[in-house]
Amino acid sequence: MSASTVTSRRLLHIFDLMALGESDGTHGLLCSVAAEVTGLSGAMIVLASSFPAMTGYCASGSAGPALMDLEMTIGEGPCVEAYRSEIAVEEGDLRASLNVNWQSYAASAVALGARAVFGFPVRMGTVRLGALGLYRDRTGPLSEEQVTDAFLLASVIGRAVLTLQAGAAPGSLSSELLDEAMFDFSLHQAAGMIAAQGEMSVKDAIVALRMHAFAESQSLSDVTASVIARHLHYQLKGRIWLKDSQ
Amino acid sequence: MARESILVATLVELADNLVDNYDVIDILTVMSDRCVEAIGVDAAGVMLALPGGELQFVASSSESMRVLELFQIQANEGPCVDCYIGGVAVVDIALTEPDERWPHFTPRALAQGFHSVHCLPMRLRGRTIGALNLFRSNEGALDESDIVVAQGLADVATIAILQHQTSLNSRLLNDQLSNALNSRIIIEQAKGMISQATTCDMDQAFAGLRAHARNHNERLTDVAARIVAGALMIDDLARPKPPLAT
Repeated sequence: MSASTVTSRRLLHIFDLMALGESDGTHGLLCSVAAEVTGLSGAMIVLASSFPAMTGYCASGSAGPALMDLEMTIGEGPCVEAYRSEIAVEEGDLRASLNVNWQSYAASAVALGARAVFGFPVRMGTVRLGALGLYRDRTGPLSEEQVTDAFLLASVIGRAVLTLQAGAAPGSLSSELLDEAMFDFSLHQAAGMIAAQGEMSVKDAIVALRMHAFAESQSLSDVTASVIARHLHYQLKGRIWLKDSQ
Repeated sequence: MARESILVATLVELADNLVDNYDVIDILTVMSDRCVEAIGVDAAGVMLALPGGELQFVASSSESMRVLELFQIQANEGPCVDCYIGGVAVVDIALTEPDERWPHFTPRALAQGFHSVHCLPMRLRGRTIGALNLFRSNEGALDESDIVVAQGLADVATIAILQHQTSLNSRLLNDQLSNALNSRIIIEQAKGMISQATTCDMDQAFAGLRAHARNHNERLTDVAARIVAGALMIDDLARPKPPLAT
């Protein structure tokens, strides 16, 4: 079988799963397809944005959403590194990770149940869109076939996201993209609230929220939910966090 | 660049090119073969609409002239044209002579030994781009489950084609996507600030933002950006325009 026929067959398999999910109207379809094609525990897709530099697009697998949350909280991990370096990232054993770029990430990811993580840049030619992350609850490297599939998936994801967004009004996300994505903008709502409470910039508020989540070993989404529910406040005087007693 | 990253970069380039130049005809041919195997039809093929709306044969399970001819005729008339124009499945059509619907197509199909024909639209998000055409030598209806399988294959083909077309304008589309994502982020941040400052919920905050943009004939994103930057005070928000001096 020629190389192009093998690629066609692998791609067809990916398209097959996409068509199946499309007819089911699955949210975060691209992530579930990525996990299924590679046979790994779950997947994450992040897109580049201005600030913060990356926005979670979707996640699959039991630990997927928490792993993506973690990466967005501390700003390090396989997606961030794959996007920044523009090359594939492989960490076959997180517990023995020697990667100096993500010491904090590795420890927390293990606690969430991940043993191996992988990152692939999502690009089209020279255009950088974001990254695909994959994780597994067992250690070990990816097989050659899984690496091929992951690269194909990364290309398919880039095209799919752009196809979904095509035709949207300028400055707006298309309803097709919003339907498929699992965007969570609550971080930004909470950051706006904290910025107003603490008389700081929204950028600083995002950093403050992340630091608080990390210091309290809470997920970023739990922290932002508490802020929006007005159970957690930032006091300007003394620069401290106050939690409602319950 | 270190030796390893050159290797990885080359690999990425290779994978990108494999996908960028993937042979859509190859994929559609594999898919047509699969129709023959999975549904037990005698021949299958894909017709795509040209920009002018005329159908063009692109791939088939059979390269024999007797089959190809039937696709060629359908540029002008036949079940595929009806399927494409109506955007709906045209299935279980028994071919009998004389046939007023398709005076050219039906006699040729019968002469080649086909007695029933089925067409499934290739649609994605309301747009029909072509049709999947199935021929059988015996008469009679397709099973309901076969129709589901065939429509699934038509959906796969649609994704394969749309994915292929997206290679155009990827930079422009990606810029639009980033802008839209950043706009959305900044609007959510402004909502948080308004919600905090005026003790309203997020929907009310958004309504205030929108009312201000409308009253002052400004873009929603620009208003949000000015609030986030501290250039527009929340106290000044959504105040109705002062009445014109009389």
